[in-house]
Amino acid sequence: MSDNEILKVKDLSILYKTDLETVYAVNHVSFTLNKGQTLGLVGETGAGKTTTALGIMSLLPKRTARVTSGEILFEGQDLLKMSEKELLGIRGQKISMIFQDPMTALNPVLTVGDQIGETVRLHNTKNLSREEIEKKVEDTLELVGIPKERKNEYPYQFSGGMRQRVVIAMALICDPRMLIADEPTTALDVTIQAQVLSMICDLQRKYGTSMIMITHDLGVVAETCDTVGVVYAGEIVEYGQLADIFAGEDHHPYTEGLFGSIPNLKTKARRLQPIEGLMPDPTVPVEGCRFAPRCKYATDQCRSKKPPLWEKDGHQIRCHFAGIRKEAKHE
Amino acid sequence: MAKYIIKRLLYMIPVLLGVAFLVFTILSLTPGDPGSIILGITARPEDIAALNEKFGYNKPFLIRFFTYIGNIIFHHDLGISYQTRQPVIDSILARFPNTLFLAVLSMCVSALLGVTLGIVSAVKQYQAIDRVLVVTALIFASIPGFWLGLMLLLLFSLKLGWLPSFGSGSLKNFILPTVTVSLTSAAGLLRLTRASMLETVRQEYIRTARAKGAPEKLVIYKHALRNALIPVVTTMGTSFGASLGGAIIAETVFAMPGMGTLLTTAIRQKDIPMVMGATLFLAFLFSLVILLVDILYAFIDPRIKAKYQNGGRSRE
Repeated sequence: MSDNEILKVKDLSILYKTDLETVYAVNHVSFTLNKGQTLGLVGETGAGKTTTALGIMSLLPKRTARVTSGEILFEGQDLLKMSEKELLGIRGQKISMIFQDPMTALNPVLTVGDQIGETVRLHNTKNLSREEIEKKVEDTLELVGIPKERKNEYPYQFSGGMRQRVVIAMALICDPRMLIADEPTTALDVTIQAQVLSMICDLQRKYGTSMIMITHDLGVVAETCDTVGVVYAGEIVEYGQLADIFAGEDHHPYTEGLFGSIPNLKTKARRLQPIEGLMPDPTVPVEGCRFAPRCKYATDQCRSKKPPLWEKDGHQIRCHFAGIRKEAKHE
Repeated sequence: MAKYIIKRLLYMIPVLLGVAFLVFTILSLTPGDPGSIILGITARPEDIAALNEKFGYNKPFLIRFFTYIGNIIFHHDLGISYQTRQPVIDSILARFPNTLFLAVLSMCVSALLGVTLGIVSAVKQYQAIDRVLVVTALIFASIPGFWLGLMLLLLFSLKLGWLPSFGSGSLKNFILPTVTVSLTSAAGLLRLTRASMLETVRQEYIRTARAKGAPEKLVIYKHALRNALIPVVTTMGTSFGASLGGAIIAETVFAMPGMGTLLTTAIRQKDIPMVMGATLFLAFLFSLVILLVDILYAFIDPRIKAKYQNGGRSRE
């Protein structure tokens, strides 16, 4: 692991096991996050993005989730091998998380000031006094654009966008080295989305925080990310620099499909081109390529044999035909 | 908040009038008149009629009802018992301390047992201790109170001779009735607390707390418990209110003079002033307890507090 890297996930697999079924949520996922940079994980709902994030935070539901392979190296140390006590010192202080739905992510019976300050009180390495913590809470509130007078109010007194600012304040108050943003704008109004997103990015740049941005919105990826992993059915099917994904020549058919599903103002199309079909049942182990049932280029080889990882200058694609098949221009 | 409480207190007036009217009507519809019940079937009709006239029972229903209400409002008088010829209020006040003491004691014991063990059970879900607690709770919730009371009586009074089997003179007298009443309700509270906690720890704000690096204890006691308590407080309040009406089974088994036996005896004897007085007294207390529970909500949940302050309109 080089000095430049803050997080390296290698061959991570996570499954959920209940009495009834086994769900293969994350399958042999690897990616690297460089210091101060943003890695985007894009994919549709249920692709395993949030499970990956919770895996990094060690917040997977204990009874059902199992990490079956891989390692998660954070600053050179494997988070999976750490004791619960060591993890308590990392969560909230070194790695923190912004959750998807601000309406449910805040405790309804505690004031926002209390909830933001709690992070500091839990990781009070600088031995701040009570007044200093209060001051820090006020400063952080102002930083995310909430008047400090509102710190004694309860979550129900805030709108969705304001609540997400509170969640962000809570995540940033300890100056974490790494931030995981799990669809931070999905639950917000479109007008608020841009505000919140640009605020997250400004703060990230200001403090040099590294970030994993989980989203299903390619627009968000284009605006925020340096590196992108396209996740499909618990697998990273394409991985590379932002330019590789958005402007490169070679693509995984799923990435092509994602781009085909968003409206383009320049070309005149009567209809969008959605990806036909649904994601495969995650309870069934797959022999060949996971995308094969929905892929218009699929051959018998795709259905029977697991595709190898194609790589060119750090741009990786998991497809039998990567580098051979050129992108079909969609209308 | 004060405005809300005053409003709620005023609401109690129509509630109590409604209760009074309903009970008075039911009592009037039941067969038999006080005269013949007191004097027995061998009495002469003239004597029965004379007694009924003395009680005012021969007057029309509505006149009797309004005379009764009028006496309460203008003379603060709940009337004289047909049976004992003593003021009703004296009988109530003689019995009520026993009932109140038993109710408070049982509530404390059952809350302590039920809520703490419920939390333990939820935190250790599906582990051995949880299974033991759930099964034990199920057993105690299913055991009929009279049987439990009798068995306790058999063991601790008759076999071991540790505790008295009847009366209400000392603290010792209250131990067995308290155990009888509180074990059943603790079992219910345990199951409710467990379910409510399990529901709460699945909420996303619990995950947020964990993501902040909060240790398990803090997550449970600071973040989860307060949110999980609302349904528990509701149940505790209503069951406390109900137990003010007397634990009839425990009172009967342990021969303890309380509100439950007072009321059942009065009903059997058609002692109208006594039934009316006791019912109104209990309805009044019950409404007070419910009001207290509602006020308690406000301290648990700020959203409810805000609702009260807005005069009952929610901001959300």
